[in-house]
Amino acid sequence: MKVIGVHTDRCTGCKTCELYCGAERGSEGKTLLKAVQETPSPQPRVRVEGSRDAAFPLQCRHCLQAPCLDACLTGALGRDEASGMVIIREDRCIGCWTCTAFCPYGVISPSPEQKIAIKCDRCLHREEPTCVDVCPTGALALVEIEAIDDLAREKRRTAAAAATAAGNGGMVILDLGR
Amino acid sequence: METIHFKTVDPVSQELLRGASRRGVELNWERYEKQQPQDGFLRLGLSCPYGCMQGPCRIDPYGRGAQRGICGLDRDAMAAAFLLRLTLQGLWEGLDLSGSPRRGIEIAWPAPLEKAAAAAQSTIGGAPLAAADIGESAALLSRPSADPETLVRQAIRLGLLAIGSAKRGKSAATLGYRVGYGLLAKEAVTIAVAGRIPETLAKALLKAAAGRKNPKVRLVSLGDWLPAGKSFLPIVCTSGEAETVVASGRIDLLLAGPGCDPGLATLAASLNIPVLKGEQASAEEELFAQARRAFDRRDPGSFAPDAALVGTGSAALGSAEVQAGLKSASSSKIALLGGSDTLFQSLGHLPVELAKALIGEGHAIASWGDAALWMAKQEIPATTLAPQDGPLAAVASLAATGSLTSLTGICFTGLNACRDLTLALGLAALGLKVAVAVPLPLWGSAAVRTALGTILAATGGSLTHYDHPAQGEELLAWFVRA
Repeated sequence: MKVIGVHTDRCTGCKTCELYCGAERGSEGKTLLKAVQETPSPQPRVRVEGSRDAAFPLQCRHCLQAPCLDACLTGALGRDEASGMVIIREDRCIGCWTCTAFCPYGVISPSPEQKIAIKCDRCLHREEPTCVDVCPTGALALVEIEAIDDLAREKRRTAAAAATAAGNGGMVILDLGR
Repeated sequence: METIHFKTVDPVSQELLRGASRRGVELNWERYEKQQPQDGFLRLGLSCPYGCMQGPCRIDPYGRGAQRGICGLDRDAMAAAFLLRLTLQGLWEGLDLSGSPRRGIEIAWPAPLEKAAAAAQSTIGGAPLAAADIGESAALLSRPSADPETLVRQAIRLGLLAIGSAKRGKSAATLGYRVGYGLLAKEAVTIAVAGRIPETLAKALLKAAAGRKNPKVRLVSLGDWLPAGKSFLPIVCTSGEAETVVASGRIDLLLAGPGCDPGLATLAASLNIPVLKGEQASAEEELFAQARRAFDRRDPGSFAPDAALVGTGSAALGSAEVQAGLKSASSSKIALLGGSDTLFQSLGHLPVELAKALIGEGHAIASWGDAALWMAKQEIPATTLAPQDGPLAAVASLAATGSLTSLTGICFTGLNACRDLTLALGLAALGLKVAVAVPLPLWGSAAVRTALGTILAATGGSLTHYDHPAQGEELLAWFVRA
């Protein structure tokens, strides 16, 4: 299963993912300059949160035990068997927005104009999600969920090597593996 | 992505691009692609242009995030200030201060446009146009205080000022030019010039090069129109193809004058091509010696173009010559088509296809800048105008002969420097119908677009711009609707 991973150290908070997600997923025109002319305003499926020191793009994590699936009253939210993604079938959504209350990440949004809930479906119709495609620093990446552990391990290894090289002898970074 | 396109209409350029790609040489196209998508806030005009230290601020175009900057500036004022900033930059680029900003500027309208300029000023409002407008614009951009309409109005005033302060054509005023890859056909030590170099230097180098044999030495321009006596320096390519030519293996030295893109010098250096700054060219012997050494290192199998690939023409710089050029056009409809190469569009595609279609619709074409070079390369019959202020000279000439009604429109097929934007704005303010084929950073504010359209409409003019790189058919329809 492929998910959108975030290299937090690379995110500059530029919000390019938000702008182009709104254009690609929320607009009729499909380009940024057309999207901003539309009413209602397109709603991006990703939101960059953070402060001066750190920014983080938030979108649906497609939780393995997704509370939104249990919360959905009509079965509009379901898991796509082929991709493993949590997707919403708009024709079944009644706009009760119970899912928005249950999502632990706050990444399902109400769309008052369309009277449905909207969320990231990882751009299943595209080879690569728009946000990943446009991210100027490569902070967003499409990764196999199994590869995340490997990535994390590699980061720990790099950090340990850097700490050792810097002479931080007292610091010990434990690589506990899986 | 929004921008899938071919890179150029010229098959030789296409081959050179493939060659560069095979050799792993990165050109402007690779840099362009790595810049995609370009900053969305700036593209929309929603990145604050005021240089304060609280920012940078920006407005969320979808209305979900910030709707005001830290100081409280809203999206309309932000977009309007951005337009004014670009226009001010454009005016500054076009001023001939000859190295001394203290000299000030002279405002002198071409006689036939005096009335139109006076009417435009009166419609737009404010004090009579003066050099002081530059300082006032800078003051408006120092702290947010003016409303969006005032900022837009000031931007239009700067457009008019750019026209009033433009340098007039000289009396001896046609210069011949040659353009095309065929200029590189014969074996010779080749010195390429990019950016602006003084005419005296160009002439001196040409003279010195002419005396050299075995091998011969030639001087070519990489897209800049550089006067050198009775003609321009031979122009081997348009400005968008300059790096493609440097990567062709046919250039032995790059002479980089002011305005030469940094990427060009970096590319030349990476290919072991000597790069000299304009001022270093006074040491002629050293310049020729360096070029000769590079020539001796050349890969013998490098690019060998067909000698027939040369277009020729003559640019009308003086008002009489512009008049003669436009008069000789057999059509009662005249379209002005020009501007710079832009990587937003396939190079050459728009000017060439649009010119052909307009000729088919019974228009005569007058052109300037890279667009004129494309037309010469493709042997499209067109009057060539001065590279920078060509459309202004053409408008003045048409007004002088009372035939301004035959002008169906002025289209900038591409913008490179802000100067072109300022000129476009000024021409529209004179009551003319102007189109710009590349998107302007105004799409973040409907109010600014409306204000711009309304003020220009009051002068009788219009500035059409698109939320996408405009296609030939759209622009053809725009011309024909006139």
